[in-house]
Amino acid sequence: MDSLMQLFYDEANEMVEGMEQVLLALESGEPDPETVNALFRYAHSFKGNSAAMGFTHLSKFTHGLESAMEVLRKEQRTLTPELATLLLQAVDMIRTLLERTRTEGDVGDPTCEPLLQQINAVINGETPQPTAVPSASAPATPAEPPDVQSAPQYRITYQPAPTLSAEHDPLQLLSELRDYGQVLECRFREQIPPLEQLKTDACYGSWELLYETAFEPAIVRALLELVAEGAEVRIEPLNAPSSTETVQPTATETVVAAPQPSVATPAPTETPAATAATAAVNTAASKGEAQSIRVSTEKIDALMNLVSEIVIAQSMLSSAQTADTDERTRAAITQMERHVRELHERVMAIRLLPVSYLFNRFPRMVRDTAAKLGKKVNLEVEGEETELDRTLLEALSDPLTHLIRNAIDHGIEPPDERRQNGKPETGTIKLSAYQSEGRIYIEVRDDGRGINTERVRQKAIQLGWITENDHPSEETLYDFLFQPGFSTAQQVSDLSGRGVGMDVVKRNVESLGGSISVQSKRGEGTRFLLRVPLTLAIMDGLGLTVAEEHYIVPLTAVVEAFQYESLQHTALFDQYEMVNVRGEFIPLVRLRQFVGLPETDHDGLIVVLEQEGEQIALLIDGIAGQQQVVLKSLEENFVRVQGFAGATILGDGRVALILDVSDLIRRGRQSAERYAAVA
Amino acid sequence: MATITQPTETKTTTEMNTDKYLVFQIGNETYGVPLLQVQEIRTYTPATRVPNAPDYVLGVINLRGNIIAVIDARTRFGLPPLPEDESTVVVVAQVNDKIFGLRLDSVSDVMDIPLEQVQPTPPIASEATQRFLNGVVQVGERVVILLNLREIFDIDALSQIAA
Repeated sequence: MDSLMQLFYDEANEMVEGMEQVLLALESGEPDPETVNALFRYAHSFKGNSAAMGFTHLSKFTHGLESAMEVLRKEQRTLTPELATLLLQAVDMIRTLLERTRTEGDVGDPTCEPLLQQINAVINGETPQPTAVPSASAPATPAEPPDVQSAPQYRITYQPAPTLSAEHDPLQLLSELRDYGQVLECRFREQIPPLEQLKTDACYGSWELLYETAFEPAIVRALLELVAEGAEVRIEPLNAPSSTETVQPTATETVVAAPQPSVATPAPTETPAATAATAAVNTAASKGEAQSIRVSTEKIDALMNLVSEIVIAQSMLSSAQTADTDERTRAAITQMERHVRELHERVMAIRLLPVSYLFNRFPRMVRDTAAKLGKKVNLEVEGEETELDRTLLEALSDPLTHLIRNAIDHGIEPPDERRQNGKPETGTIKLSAYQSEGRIYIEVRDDGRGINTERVRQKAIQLGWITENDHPSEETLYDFLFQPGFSTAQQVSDLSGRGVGMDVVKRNVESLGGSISVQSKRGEGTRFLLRVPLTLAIMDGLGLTVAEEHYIVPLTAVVEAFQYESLQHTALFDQYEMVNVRGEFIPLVRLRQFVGLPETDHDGLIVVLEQEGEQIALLIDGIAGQQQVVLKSLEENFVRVQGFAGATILGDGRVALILDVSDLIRRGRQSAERYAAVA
Repeated sequence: MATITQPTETKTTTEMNTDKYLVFQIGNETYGVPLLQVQEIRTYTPATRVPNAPDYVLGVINLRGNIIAVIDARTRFGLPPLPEDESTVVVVAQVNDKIFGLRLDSVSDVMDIPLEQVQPTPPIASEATQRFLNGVVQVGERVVILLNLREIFDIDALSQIAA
């Protein structure tokens, strides 16, 4: 099934459960105005979500529910048991509608409207009329008036409130009315003032309807009050129904459609579009009936934790092997190892989701943000099928949102500026994902104005981080962007620069065991590259030793290891240590120094580590072998320790710290820069 | 402070509010921590050193799959550390949703501490260690110094372990 659709159903089910719980909690506790608020919020989000998906029946029903809750909320009323029962029926109705939407498409249910009527009647203190409002248990078809000829007619004048908000949808009123009777005539009157007095957010139109229905006038009134809140509605009964006045029902629609452009609300224009999209969505829904079950993430996490423990136990078992271990035990351990590895991979795969799950949220955001800022931005998405751990995906949502907002706000220039610079008016933001070397790369690239490194430098001087005479390298300047307290935004805009800065983005990404880097070219654009591990849980590690201590580096970062020979070693000004590896000089980092241990004389080993095309040579005492390690957080019960990506538990139950390769590389680069400064 | 003002079960014999405290000896003095905050008491297993951490952080250990820090109570209070022996224990406690271990020379007892009789710490202790104390109380012949675990495992101060 389409992931967006799946997301909708997942959320919908959660909301239905939430509503039910709120209602059920009432039975045991005191009625509370907060309950009504909670229900209102649920109905509101439900309406929004289902409208976005083009499920008109669902959104209509939940809209009705929302309006009903709104009445209660305004009057600060609590729920009576009678109402609670009805609302539970409404929750069941949502379930039914969801199920129907899933299996049959956007079909709706005839008992929706009577149920809403009943709820509203109870809220308004009326006793439900059994004839006009059938109970939900006895389905009827109220949309069919008993007899068109004999049905009474009404003239309805509908003048929306001057401040017509998106909440009030004139089109919805009309379609509601159609469900209960026949709109014979629909006239739109506009009273548009001269341009200088025109308010863009006001409504200057009114409708006059000739309406025919078999239902009681009170019902019609209730219906209108429900939909047209704050509006001026007049209902005049017409005594003599005349068949000559009858207009073709199809004509009604065209008349309704015509006045739309004059209405200063986006709602009516959106609704037909949503309806049009429905057909396409429906086919997707019915096709997407995948054979799957919904399992809570907690269950999968518990399973994953268990697998992690098995991996630890397995490595204990493997390391318990000695030369005396008999052949059969050895074979069994080897076999176990293979199965455990496969088990791990399979469980991992359960948690993987395509990044489209995340990327799908952005087109809308880009559109809205760009519109708000008066910019033209086109979002290109690539590699949506790349799969990633669900936890990671969720954790990446905030950093990516921030980066994209930044790109629109600070990166992409306004259209006229772009035109002046010979660029197309519409800026492009490219969001891509790919997998390489066991890591996931996510790139946010824009073709905007790029990072003004001079301004970054000035700001750093202003902040006292560097002096007037310092001219740090581009990389160092870019690094400043990620420091807390740094923001070059000339003005704090409404969208970005709200105190959540790039330092938070960096911290978020790093807490996932990932890293972030930036490249930029003045006038051409900026590219942020996020690297995150495939999974947070398990990786292949190489054990390194210094003195009695044991550290782990991710095996994916290891290029080679060899005996350290002093001949290869060069030190410039005693600062910049390098190792010559087949003619190539690589910065040297001493692990003993890195972890605060005294140096020794005896020669050790060199492990060359690489990340992002950058290499360092790490001087260690020895190698303790390769093993699968379960990544454990240091932060969960302690703090983040600079230089380490986390910790793991060794076969003997002891803890080993996992080295953060990007931090080691930074260390190497820093000494290189110190050298450059001296030279 | 909240930990000692917390009302708990009332002793019927004395009609006084008491809280159960785990008490132990450091040097010549008796100290106590609220039993409610204590999860378990373990024998000490060597911790893995965390580079650049303050000296009172002995390192990290594996607590059934979780990594927790172990703090040496003696070093934290500015006393010379003692070599470990069979009676060395780690008291696993929880403060601010984080679990940590406090290494002690030994634990002696669980006591009922009458909350009304807890007195503020006399300002004899140095400024630095004053914050570790929640008050003193006389129980029978013993003077028990009540500890503030939150200050002892000061996560904010630790959060800047930079290499």
